Amino acid sequence: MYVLRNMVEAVGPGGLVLDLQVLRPNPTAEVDERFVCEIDGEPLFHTADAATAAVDALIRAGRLIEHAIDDHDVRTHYADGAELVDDFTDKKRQLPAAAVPRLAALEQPCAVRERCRLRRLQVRSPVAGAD
Amino acid sequence: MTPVLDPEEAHLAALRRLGDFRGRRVLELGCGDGRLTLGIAREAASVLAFDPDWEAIERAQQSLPGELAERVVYRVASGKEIELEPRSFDLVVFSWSL
Repeated sequence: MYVLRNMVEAVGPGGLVLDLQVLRPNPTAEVDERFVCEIDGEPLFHTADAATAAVDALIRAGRLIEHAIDDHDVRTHYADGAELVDDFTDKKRQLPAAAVPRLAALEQPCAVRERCRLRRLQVRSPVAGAD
Repeated sequence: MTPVLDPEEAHLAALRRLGDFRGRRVLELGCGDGRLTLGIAREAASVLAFDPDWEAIERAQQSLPGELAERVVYRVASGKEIELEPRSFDLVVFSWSL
C-alpha cells in the first residue's frame, strides 16, 4: 500500500495510473496454439491479488477512479520444450511434475500463454477525512 | 536461444489502448530490462523507469537507443525506497510490480 500511495503522490490529482497484473485462469503451455498443460499460477496470483486489493482500497477511499479495464493474453516463446522447462526451474510458478517429461521432449517451438489485466485509473485530490 | 516475452507486443498495445503517452512525463515501476519502456518513450516527453534488479537495468541501459537517451532515465530502486517529488509525473505504469 505504501508503494502505491508513494506513486500516486508522485503523479498528483488528474494524473493517470496504468496497473498491469496477471489474471486467473492459470497460464498454459502450448504448441502451435494447442494446449499442452496448465501451469500453477497461484504464487503470482497472490501477489496480484494484494496489488488489486491495494488499488481497490484507494478507489474506496476516493483517491482513484477506475476508467477502463483491458484483458489480454501475453505469450512467452521458447525454442523448444527443454528451454521452457529450464526457464521454470527458478520461477515461483511451477510446471506440473507429471507434464515435465512430455514438455522437455518437445523439439518444436512452444509458448506459455497467460492472461493479464490492465486497469486505467485517475488520481483524485485527497478527500478530507478519508483514509 | 533465450525465451522471448511478448514479441507480439500485446502489453504495449494494451498500454496504448488505455493510455496516451504523447508528451507525458511517465514513471514506470518494475521496468525490468526496459521491454515496455522503449515503446512508451517513443511517444512520451520523458520516462523515469526503475527496477530493483540491477542486472535487468544494466541490460536496459545497454539496449537504450541513442535517439531515446535524453528521454529515458533508468534507476536501480524499489518502489519502497525511491524518492520522488510530488506531482512530478503525469502518468505512472505498474508492470506486474505493485
